Amino acid sequence: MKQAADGPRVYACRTALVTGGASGIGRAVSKALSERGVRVFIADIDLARATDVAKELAKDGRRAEALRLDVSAGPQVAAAFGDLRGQCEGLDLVVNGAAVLGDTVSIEDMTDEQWRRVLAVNLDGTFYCCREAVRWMRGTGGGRIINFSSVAGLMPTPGALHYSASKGAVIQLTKTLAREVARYNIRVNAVAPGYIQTPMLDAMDAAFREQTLHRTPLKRFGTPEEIAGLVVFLASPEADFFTGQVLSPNGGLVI
Amino acid sequence: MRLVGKVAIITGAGRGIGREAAVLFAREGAKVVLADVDPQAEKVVGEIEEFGGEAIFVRGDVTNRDSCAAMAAAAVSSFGRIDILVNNAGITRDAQLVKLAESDFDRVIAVNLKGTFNATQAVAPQMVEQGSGRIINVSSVVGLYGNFGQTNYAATKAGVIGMTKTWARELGRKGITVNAVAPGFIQTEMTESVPEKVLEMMRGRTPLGRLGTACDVANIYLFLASDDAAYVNGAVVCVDGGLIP
Repeated sequence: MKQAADGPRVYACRTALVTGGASGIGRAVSKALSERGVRVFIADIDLARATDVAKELAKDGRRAEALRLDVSAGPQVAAAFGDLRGQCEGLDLVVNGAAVLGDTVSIEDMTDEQWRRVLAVNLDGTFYCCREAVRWMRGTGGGRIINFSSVAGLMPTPGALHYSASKGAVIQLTKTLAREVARYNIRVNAVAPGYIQTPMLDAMDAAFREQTLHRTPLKRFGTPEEIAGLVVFLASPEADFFTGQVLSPNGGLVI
Repeated sequence: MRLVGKVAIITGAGRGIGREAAVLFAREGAKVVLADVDPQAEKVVGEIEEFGGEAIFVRGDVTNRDSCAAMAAAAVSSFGRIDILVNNAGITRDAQLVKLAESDFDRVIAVNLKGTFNATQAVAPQMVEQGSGRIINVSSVVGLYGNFGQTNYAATKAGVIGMTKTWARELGRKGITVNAVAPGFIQTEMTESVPEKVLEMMRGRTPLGRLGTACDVANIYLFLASDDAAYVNGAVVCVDGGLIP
């Protein structure tokens, strides 16, 4: 049995796929993993930006590769995983970071397209990537999946019905999947960030941001690096007994 | 090394999870104050010093408020500050409701619930003065789901969650985070008296198929004390292998 007192820790994760890895929290996650020597596949709908991040990270002998991926398209996700299987023997970690906020709109004005788009990226995308990850990992001795929920998945978020619903669903997907695949040594956990300094936050209404800050006991927004730190932890051997959990770094906004 | 220069107080540090955490924190560079009612805990200090770590032992009882004040004072006089408090001290006195002695109910409340309050009240002013701190309380999955034969223990562990969430709101603006860890079934001295049949049932209810180790839990204490958890406040973190209640 592994003991805490044994010598220096080795970061066991060698290869990771980060969806939405080119901006905001996903970018910080890609960077934090890369700094620990993990070979990172940065998947993003914006290939140019993913390529920039990969170039920035691929130095000092580190490997980082970009791929274009629209997680809402099932066949595209399957094809991307097929490509990855040709490039590495196994994937230790999948971080499902790709998400869209969608427009702020009340239910009576929400169009089918607005609803579908948010659910397609945030929920369907997470499902497609989890499915491919499990299909691969169960044959390679296991792995880790980290899904992104949000405080909007823990509490009501008026005006963001689609986003809130998608992020709430990610929590139950995570918990159910954790129970299904524990036998394959695959651990599935979720991170549910509060309001974090990212382009997504910048897009929010200033009065809303001010009010959120007021309601946050720590009186500040989080940083992408703080969220990346959690992902690094969840991917480490120290979190080996964690599965089906939701960690919410939110400064105390949701307690 | 993730706790370099930090000063940590760990209550109930003589055995089990507390002992594991004290050694782990010291290895990560923290100066550790080990508090325990049992003088045997002093041996852990020797163990820490062997690998070049820094630690002191304070014999103390969390049910005694003077003792908690002395513990906080010892930390400040030895190391100059207090960055982390782990309210790890806890006991069980199991019996089914109809057979549970009042004294056993009161004793568990005194150590697990009031002891957490006593220690935190003794330490928090120092953290407020510093404008920073990490308080890690120890709850249990039993506090969330209840457990046969543990009226007193479950009550204290649910109570710890209530205090955690309240302190997260009160102390957040002072730069102090307060979180709780809720271990599942962990193999420690506390579970030594549990019959193998029951342990087997516990494993069966844990999707990962094993009991947790003291190390599994100490790792979560470390995480909550580290910079990685800077924005986590008011959370209850289950480390239970996916336990099915």
